[in-house]
Amino acid sequence: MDNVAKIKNDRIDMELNIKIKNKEYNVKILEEGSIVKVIVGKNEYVFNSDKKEETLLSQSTSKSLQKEIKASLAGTISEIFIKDGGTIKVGQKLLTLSAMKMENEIASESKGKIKKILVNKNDTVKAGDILIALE
Amino acid sequence: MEIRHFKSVSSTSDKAKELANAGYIPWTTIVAEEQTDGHGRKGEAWFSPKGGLYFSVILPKNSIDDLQTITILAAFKVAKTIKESFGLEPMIKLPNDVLINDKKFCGILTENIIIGDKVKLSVIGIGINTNIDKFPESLKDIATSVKIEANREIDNQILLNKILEELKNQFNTINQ
Repeated sequence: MDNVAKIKNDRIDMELNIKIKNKEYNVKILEEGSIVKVIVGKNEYVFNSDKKEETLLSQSTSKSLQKEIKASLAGTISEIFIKDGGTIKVGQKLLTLSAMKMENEIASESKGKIKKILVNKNDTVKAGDILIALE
Repeated sequence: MEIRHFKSVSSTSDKAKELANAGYIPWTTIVAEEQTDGHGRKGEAWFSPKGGLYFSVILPKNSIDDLQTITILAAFKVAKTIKESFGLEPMIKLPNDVLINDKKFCGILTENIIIGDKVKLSVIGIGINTNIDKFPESLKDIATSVKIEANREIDNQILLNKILEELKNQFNTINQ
Protein backbone atom coordinates (compact mmCIF):
# COMPACT_ATOMS: atom_id res chain seq x y z
CA MET A 1 0.00 0.00 0.00
CA ASP A 2 2.98 2.30 0.37
CA ASN A 3 4.32 2.20 -3.12
CA VAL A 4 3.26 5.08 -5.25
CA ALA A 5 3.61 4.78 -8.97
CA LYS A 6 2.60 6.84 -11.89
CA ILE A 7 -0.14 5.64 -14.15
CA LYS A 8 0.13 6.25 -17.84
CA ASN A 9 -2.87 6.55 -20.13
CA ASP A 10 -5.29 7.03 -17.27
CA ARG A 11 -8.60 5.41 -17.85
CA ILE A 12 -11.53 5.32 -15.50
CA ASP A 13 -12.60 1.77 -14.90
CA MET A 14 -15.19 2.53 -12.33
CA GLU A 15 -16.88 5.59 -11.04
CA LEU A 16 -19.35 5.32 -8.27
CA ASN A 17 -20.88 7.24 -5.45
CA ILE A 18 -20.32 5.85 -2.03
CA LYS A 19 -22.13 6.71 1.12
CA ILE A 20 -20.09 6.69 4.32
CA LYS A 21 -21.90 7.72 7.47
CA ASN A 22 -24.55 9.52 5.43
CA LYS A 23 -22.05 11.59 3.47
CA GLU A 24 -21.71 10.95 -0.23
CA TYR A 25 -18.35 10.64 -1.96
CA ASN A 26 -17.46 10.33 -5.62
CA VAL A 27 -14.95 7.54 -6.09
CA LYS A 28 -13.02 6.62 -9.20
CA ILE A 29 -11.00 3.46 -9.55
CA LEU A 30 -8.30 3.10 -12.16
CA GLU A 31 -6.40 -0.03 -12.99
CA GLU A 32 -3.08 -0.17 -14.73
CA GLY A 33 -0.91 -3.24 -14.67
CA SER A 34 -0.32 -4.21 -11.08
CA ILE A 35 -1.58 -0.91 -9.75
CA VAL A 36 -5.02 -0.03 -8.52
CA LYS A 37 -5.60 3.63 -7.94
CA VAL A 38 -8.56 4.84 -5.92
CA ILE A 39 -9.46 8.51 -6.11
CA VAL A 40 -11.81 9.89 -3.51
CA GLY A 41 -12.46 13.57 -4.08
CA LYS A 42 -9.01 15.17 -4.07
CA ASN A 43 -7.34 12.25 -2.31
CA GLU A 44 -5.58 9.54 -4.18
CA TYR A 45 -4.71 6.08 -2.88
CA VAL A 46 -2.45 3.76 -4.78
CA PHE A 47 -2.34 0.04 -4.15
CA ASN A 48 0.52 -1.91 -5.54
CA SER A 49 1.42 -5.41 -4.68
CA ASP A 50 4.94 -6.62 -5.14
CA LYS A 51 4.74 -8.25 -1.76
CA LYS A 52 5.36 -11.79 -0.72
CA GLU A 53 2.34 -14.06 -0.69
CA GLU A 54 1.99 -13.96 3.01
CA THR A 55 2.73 -10.76 4.82
CA LEU A 56 3.92 -11.24 8.34
CA LEU A 57 1.52 -9.93 10.86
CA SER A 58 2.95 -9.09 14.27
CA GLN A 59 5.67 -11.52 15.28
CA SER A 60 4.52 -14.39 17.40
CA THR A 61 6.48 -15.90 20.23
CA SER A 62 8.68 -18.94 19.84
CA LYS A 63 6.55 -21.90 18.86
CA SER A 64 8.24 -24.51 21.00
CA LEU A 65 7.86 -22.56 24.20
CA GLN A 66 4.58 -20.91 23.53
CA LYS A 67 3.10 -19.69 26.79
CA GLU A 68 0.67 -17.21 25.41
CA ILE A 69 -1.37 -16.47 22.33
CA LYS A 70 -1.21 -12.90 21.14
CA ALA A 71 -3.41 -10.85 18.85
CA SER A 72 -1.79 -10.73 15.43
CA LEU A 73 -3.83 -7.70 14.49
CA ALA A 74 -5.91 -5.04 16.20
CA GLY A 75 -9.65 -5.55 16.43
CA THR A 76 -12.63 -6.54 18.53
CA ILE A 77 -13.17 -9.96 20.03
CA SER A 78 -16.45 -11.14 18.52
CA GLU A 79 -16.59 -14.73 19.70
CA ILE A 80 -14.72 -17.01 22.13
CA PHE A 81 -14.87 -20.75 21.58
CA ILE A 82 -12.73 -22.01 24.47
CA LYS A 83 -12.80 -22.10 28.27
CA ASP A 84 -10.27 -21.63 31.08
CA GLY A 85 -8.58 -24.91 31.89
CA GLY A 86 -9.44 -26.50 28.57
CA THR A 87 -6.94 -28.24 26.35
CA ILE A 88 -6.35 -27.11 22.79
CA LYS A 89 -5.16 -28.91 19.68
CA VAL A 90 -3.11 -27.58 16.79
CA GLY A 91 -5.35 -25.72 14.38
CA GLN A 92 -8.27 -25.51 16.82
CA LYS A 93 -10.53 -22.48 16.51
CA LEU A 94 -9.96 -20.32 19.61
CA LEU A 95 -11.74 -17.05 19.02
CA THR A 96 -12.92 -14.66 16.35
CA LEU A 97 -11.39 -11.23 16.01
CA SER A 98 -13.37 -8.71 14.03
CA ALA A 99 -10.74 -6.54 12.38
CA MET A 100 -10.37 -4.43 9.27
CA LYS A 101 -14.05 -5.17 8.57
CA MET A 102 -13.28 -8.86 8.25
CA GLU A 103 -13.92 -11.78 10.56
CA ASN A 104 -10.67 -13.43 11.58
CA GLU A 105 -10.73 -16.83 13.17
CA ILE A 106 -7.70 -17.21 15.40
CA ALA A 107 -6.63 -20.84 15.44
CA SER A 108 -4.07 -22.48 17.68
CA GLU A 109 -0.51 -22.85 16.52
CA SER A 110 0.36 -25.53 19.03
CA LYS A 111 -1.33 -27.88 21.49
CA GLY A 112 -1.55 -26.99 25.15
CA LYS A 113 -3.67 -26.23 28.19
CA ILE A 114 -5.37 -22.92 28.74
CA LYS A 115 -4.38 -21.22 31.97
CA LYS A 116 -6.54 -18.16 31.50
CA ILE A 117 -8.43 -16.37 28.79
CA LEU A 118 -7.50 -12.72 29.21
CA VAL A 119 -10.15 -11.16 27.01
CA ASN A 120 -13.92 -11.01 26.92
CA LYS A 121 -16.36 -10.79 24.08
CA ASN A 122 -16.52 -7.25 22.61
CA ASP A 123 -13.11 -6.28 24.06
CA THR A 124 -10.93 -4.16 21.80
CA VAL A 125 -7.39 -5.43 21.44
CA LYS A 126 -4.19 -4.12 19.89
CA ALA A 127 -1.76 -6.15 17.81
CA GLY A 128 0.57 -7.90 20.24
CA ASP A 129 -1.88 -7.96 23.17
CA ILE A 130 -1.95 -11.27 25.01
CA LEU A 131 -5.29 -12.99 24.47
CA ILE A 132 -4.77 -16.36 26.12
CA ALA A 133 -2.22 -17.54 28.68
CA LEU A 134 -1.14 -21.17 28.35
CA GLU A 135 0.24 -23.43 31.07
CA MET B 1 -12.74 -22.45 -11.77
CA GLU B 2 -14.93 -25.08 -10.17
CA ILE B 3 -18.40 -24.03 -9.10
CA ARG B 4 -20.12 -26.35 -6.66
CA HIS B 5 -23.87 -26.02 -6.30
CA PHE B 6 -25.81 -26.93 -3.18
CA LYS B 7 -29.54 -26.83 -2.54
CA SER B 8 -29.18 -25.76 1.06
CA VAL B 9 -26.24 -25.11 3.36
CA SER B 10 -25.90 -23.48 6.77
CA SER B 11 -23.55 -20.88 5.23
CA THR B 12 -21.68 -20.93 1.93
CA SER B 13 -18.58 -19.55 3.69
CA ASP B 14 -18.63 -22.32 6.30
CA LYS B 15 -18.94 -24.84 3.46
CA ALA B 16 -16.09 -23.14 1.59
CA LYS B 17 -13.84 -23.34 4.67
CA GLU B 18 -14.73 -26.99 5.08
CA LEU B 19 -13.89 -27.73 1.43
CA ALA B 20 -10.68 -25.70 1.56
CA ASN B 21 -9.57 -27.75 4.56
CA ALA B 22 -10.39 -30.87 2.55
CA GLY B 23 -8.01 -29.73 -0.17
CA TYR B 24 -10.18 -27.73 -2.56
CA ILE B 25 -8.11 -25.15 -4.40
CA PRO B 26 -8.46 -21.36 -4.52
CA TRP B 27 -11.24 -20.02 -6.71
CA THR B 28 -13.45 -22.97 -5.95
CA THR B 29 -16.87 -21.36 -5.57
CA ILE B 30 -19.71 -22.62 -3.42
CA VAL B 31 -23.22 -21.58 -4.41
CA ALA B 32 -26.36 -22.42 -2.50
CA GLU B 33 -30.03 -21.89 -3.28
CA GLU B 34 -30.61 -21.05 0.35
CA GLN B 35 -28.64 -20.64 3.59
CA THR B 36 -30.09 -21.72 6.88
CA ASP B 37 -27.51 -19.77 8.91
CA GLY B 38 -26.21 -17.05 6.59
CA HIS B 39 -24.30 -14.41 8.50
CA GLY B 40 -22.60 -11.06 8.19
CA ARG B 41 -20.09 -9.37 10.45
CA LYS B 42 -20.15 -10.13 14.15
CA GLY B 43 -22.48 -13.02 13.52
CA GLU B 44 -25.40 -10.90 12.35
CA ALA B 45 -27.90 -12.97 10.41
CA TRP B 46 -28.27 -12.59 6.65
CA PHE B 47 -31.79 -13.38 5.42
CA SER B 48 -31.13 -16.07 2.79
CA PRO B 49 -34.31 -17.62 1.37
CA LYS B 50 -34.60 -19.32 -2.01
CA GLY B 51 -34.40 -16.88 -4.91
CA GLY B 52 -31.29 -15.04 -3.77
CA LEU B 53 -27.73 -15.55 -4.95
CA TYR B 54 -25.47 -16.78 -2.15
CA PHE B 55 -21.91 -17.74 -2.86
CA SER B 56 -18.45 -17.94 -1.34
CA VAL B 57 -15.08 -18.14 -3.02
CA ILE B 58 -11.93 -19.73 -1.60
CA LEU B 59 -9.30 -17.02 -2.09
CA PRO B 60 -5.64 -17.57 -2.90
CA LYS B 61 -3.25 -16.78 -0.03
CA ASN B 62 -2.79 -13.10 0.53
CA SER B 63 -1.70 -10.52 3.03
CA ILE B 64 -4.28 -9.13 5.42
CA ASP B 65 -3.95 -5.66 3.83
CA ASP B 66 -4.64 -6.99 0.37
CA LEU B 67 -7.56 -9.03 1.66
CA GLN B 68 -9.14 -5.85 2.92
CA THR B 69 -8.59 -4.20 -0.46
CA ILE B 70 -10.13 -7.23 -2.17
CA THR B 71 -13.20 -7.00 0.07
CA ILE B 72 -13.69 -3.33 -0.71
CA LEU B 73 -13.14 -3.83 -4.43
CA ALA B 74 -15.59 -6.75 -4.44
CA ALA B 75 -18.31 -4.30 -3.39
CA PHE B 76 -17.35 -2.10 -6.36
CA LYS B 77 -17.45 -5.06 -8.70
CA VAL B 78 -20.91 -6.11 -7.53
CA ALA B 79 -22.14 -2.53 -7.85
CA LYS B 80 -20.61 -2.21 -11.32
CA THR B 81 -22.13 -5.49 -12.52
CA ILE B 82 -25.58 -4.58 -11.20
CA LYS B 83 -25.34 -1.12 -12.75
CA GLU B 84 -24.28 -2.44 -16.14
CA SER B 85 -26.66 -5.40 -16.21
CA PHE B 86 -29.83 -3.78 -14.94
CA GLY B 87 -29.33 -0.05 -15.31
CA LEU B 88 -29.71 0.49 -11.57
CA GLU B 89 -27.71 2.98 -9.49
CA PRO B 90 -26.17 1.09 -6.58
CA MET B 91 -24.45 2.84 -3.71
CA ILE B 92 -21.68 1.30 -1.65
CA LYS B 93 -21.70 1.52 2.11
CA LEU B 94 -18.10 0.68 2.81
CA PRO B 95 -16.87 -1.88 3.09
CA ASN B 96 -19.49 -4.59 3.30
CA ASP B 97 -22.79 -3.48 1.89
CA VAL B 98 -24.26 -2.43 -1.43
CA LEU B 99 -27.52 -0.51 -1.50
CA ILE B 100 -30.11 0.68 -3.99
CA ASN B 101 -32.36 3.57 -2.99
CA ASP B 102 -30.87 3.43 0.52
CA LYS B 103 -31.88 -0.20 0.99
CA LYS B 104 -29.41 -3.04 1.28
CA PHE B 105 -29.42 -5.73 -1.39
CA CYS B 106 -25.91 -7.15 -1.08
CA GLY B 107 -23.64 -8.03 1.83
CA ILE B 108 -19.99 -9.04 1.58
CA LEU B 109 -17.89 -10.66 4.27
CA THR B 110 -14.33 -11.91 4.12
CA GLU B 111 -13.45 -14.52 6.71
CA ASN B 112 -9.84 -15.43 7.43
CA ILE B 113 -8.29 -18.16 9.46
CA ILE B 114 -5.13 -16.96 11.16
CA ILE B 115 -2.62 -19.25 12.79
CA GLY B 116 0.28 -17.56 14.56
CA ASP B 117 1.29 -14.69 12.34
CA LYS B 118 0.00 -16.01 9.03
CA VAL B 119 -3.26 -15.96 7.15
CA LYS B 120 -3.87 -19.63 6.45
CA LEU B 121 -7.18 -19.43 4.65
CA SER B 122 -9.50 -16.77 3.31
CA VAL B 123 -13.00 -17.02 2.02
CA ILE B 124 -15.10 -14.19 0.63
CA GLY B 125 -18.84 -14.59 0.97
CA ILE B 126 -21.32 -12.57 -1.08
CA GLY B 127 -25.06 -12.57 -0.58
CA ILE B 128 -27.23 -10.80 -3.13
CA ASN B 129 -30.97 -10.42 -2.85
CA THR B 130 -31.83 -11.13 -6.46
CA ASN B 131 -35.24 -12.79 -6.88
CA ILE B 132 -36.72 -12.01 -3.51
CA ASP B 133 -40.24 -10.60 -3.69
CA LYS B 134 -40.93 -10.00 -0.05
CA PHE B 135 -38.97 -9.32 3.11
CA PRO B 136 -39.99 -9.92 6.71
CA GLU B 137 -41.41 -7.00 8.65
CA SER B 138 -38.09 -6.37 10.43
CA LEU B 139 -36.24 -5.96 7.12
CA LYS B 140 -38.76 -4.47 4.73
CA ASP B 141 -37.68 -0.87 5.32
CA ILE B 142 -33.94 -1.56 5.08
CA ALA B 143 -33.67 -4.33 2.49
CA THR B 144 -34.53 -4.62 -1.18
CA SER B 145 -33.88 -7.00 -4.05
CA VAL B 146 -32.62 -6.55 -7.59
CA LYS B 147 -35.93 -7.97 -8.84
CA ILE B 148 -37.95 -5.41 -6.90
CA GLU B 149 -35.75 -2.56 -8.16
CA ALA B 150 -35.33 -3.72 -11.78
CA ASN B 151 -38.86 -5.10 -11.99
CA ARG B 152 -37.78 -8.32 -13.66
CA GLU B 153 -36.57 -11.82 -12.92
CA ILE B 154 -32.78 -12.14 -12.53
CA ASP B 155 -30.74 -15.02 -13.92
CA ASN B 156 -28.59 -15.94 -10.92
CA GLN B 157 -26.19 -18.07 -12.95
CA ILE B 158 -25.38 -15.32 -15.45
CA LEU B 159 -24.97 -12.77 -12.66
CA LEU B 160 -22.70 -15.14 -10.72
CA ASN B 161 -20.48 -15.73 -13.75
CA LYS B 162 -20.16 -12.02 -14.42
CA ILE B 163 -19.23 -11.22 -10.82
CA LEU B 164 -16.73 -14.10 -10.61
CA GLU B 165 -15.05 -12.93 -13.76
CA GLU B 166 -14.81 -9.39 -12.39
CA LEU B 167 -13.43 -10.65 -9.07
CA LYS B 168 -10.83 -12.80 -10.73
CA ASN B 169 -9.66 -9.98 -13.01
CA GLN B 170 -9.48 -7.70 -10.00
CA PHE B 171 -7.53 -10.23 -8.03
CA ASN B 172 -5.06 -10.79 -10.83
CA THR B 173 -4.53 -7.06 -11.08
CA ILE B 174 -3.75 -6.77 -7.40
CA ASN B 175 -1.41 -9.75 -7.49
CA GLN B 176 0.48 -9.14 -10.70
